[in-house]
Amino acid sequence: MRADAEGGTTAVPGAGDIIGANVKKNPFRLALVPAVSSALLAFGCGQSQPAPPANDSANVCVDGQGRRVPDDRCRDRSTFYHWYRGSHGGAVVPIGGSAGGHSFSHGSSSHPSSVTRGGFGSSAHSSGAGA
Amino acid sequence: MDRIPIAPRPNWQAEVEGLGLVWHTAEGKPYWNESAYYSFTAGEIDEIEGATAELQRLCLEAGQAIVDRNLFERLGLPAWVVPFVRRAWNDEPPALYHGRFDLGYDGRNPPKLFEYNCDTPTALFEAAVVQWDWKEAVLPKRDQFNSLHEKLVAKWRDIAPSFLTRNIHFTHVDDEPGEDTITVTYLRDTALQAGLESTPILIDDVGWDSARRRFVDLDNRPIDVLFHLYPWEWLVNETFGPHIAESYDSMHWIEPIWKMMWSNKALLAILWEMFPDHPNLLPAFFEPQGGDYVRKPLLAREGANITVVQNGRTIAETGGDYGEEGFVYQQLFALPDFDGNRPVLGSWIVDGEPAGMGIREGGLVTGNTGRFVPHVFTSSR
Repeated sequence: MRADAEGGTTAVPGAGDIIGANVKKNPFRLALVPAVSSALLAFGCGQSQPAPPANDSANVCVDGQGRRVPDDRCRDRSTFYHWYRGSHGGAVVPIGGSAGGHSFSHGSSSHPSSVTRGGFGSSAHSSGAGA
Repeated sequence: MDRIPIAPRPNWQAEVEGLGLVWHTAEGKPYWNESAYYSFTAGEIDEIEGATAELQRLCLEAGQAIVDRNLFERLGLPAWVVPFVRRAWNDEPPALYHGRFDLGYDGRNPPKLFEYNCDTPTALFEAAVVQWDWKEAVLPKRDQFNSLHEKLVAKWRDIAPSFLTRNIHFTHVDDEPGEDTITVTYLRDTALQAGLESTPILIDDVGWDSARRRFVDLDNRPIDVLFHLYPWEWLVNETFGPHIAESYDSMHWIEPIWKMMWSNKALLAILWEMFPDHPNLLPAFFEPQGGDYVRKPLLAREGANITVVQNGRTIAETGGDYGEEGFVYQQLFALPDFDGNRPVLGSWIVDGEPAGMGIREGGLVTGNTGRFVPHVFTSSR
């Protein structure tokens, strides 16, 4: 670790109080990056996702948090949305509801009429927005 | 400063993928390039670190001059934005205050500023995490200019009490390579380590609730604090742009809107006007002055719409959709050439202080196809 001009060094970044093998495997203690990157790899990093079987109503399209979104989003080229296969206890997962496990929570099952979306994002490129 | 070839780890793709660098290869070529590394002396790192701190100081002075002398017209900002930029500059709202200076450096002369990417900087995850992991695996006895992770966590911890909520929303584009997604996810991780919570939301999914006059998430919850890897110049010019003004008092934006002053290439010409012949600046102007120069759009990303002119002839040009707002003309800098590899240093700032470095190699213009090459330095003097 780069230290001050006197040349002292500091410990492994983020190692903090963790010890043992975990330090080697994940010295930064990242909890979210491994999960999201695994999902990106599993879903082909933006390659077109195959549609689910047409007669399989157990598949729902979910966002990065596992909440159901309109199925169209999974049919587009997308890294953020993916198909989730599960029984959902036989229930229909509402838009905004969680598809994880056998139960789901109703965030807000329908959008209030005062909410509109899509007013940001029109300048975006598929390669990203970073510099 | 030296570039040293080295054998890549046999399973390097799996190694970096395991960390989260899923965009390690672009167009069939490694973006993460560990077939070489850059080696510096401690004195060289001190020089880079010192230049970074000095450039931050100059930018602070330039920002104050833009506000005091009302130079906003030079930046091409929409008129309605200016009062909010002024206000944010004066209020200094809680933010990471991070960014990446792109520098030219040859190990012999002072580092020179190419531009300041301080609104939506990327190449952060590979600089903070991946190159450190590489160093520990390959050259564990060497040191690295890299305190990015600790400084990011510390800054989140510092600003957390300023917010009325523990939950920070993070937004970005649904990008095909995954770079923006992982960069933002990494920042969510740093916030998490500082005791905050995070909610991701794609920029297209940000909602506007006209009844409450608030931006809302997919659960229609009001967004109190929004980290955006989405440029301010896009935000203010899109359909929801005017709502930023309507809801400004009820929402924190990270980074703040005043970053529009520093992420604009007009800053380069303003800096040169204010500090002519400064050793860390290249001559830059709003009109071509002759000689060899690089023409840069005021607003552009990833090396787009750059023209390199040498001896009156265009020797390199990149495409893109930028340039409507105008250009600056910056003296051409001869990047050091290591067998055809030309490094640009990305020297990071977090909380206004130098925080580490990442290096990308490219040709005459370093765009989003540049290769990231790790670095180390020798601690002994």
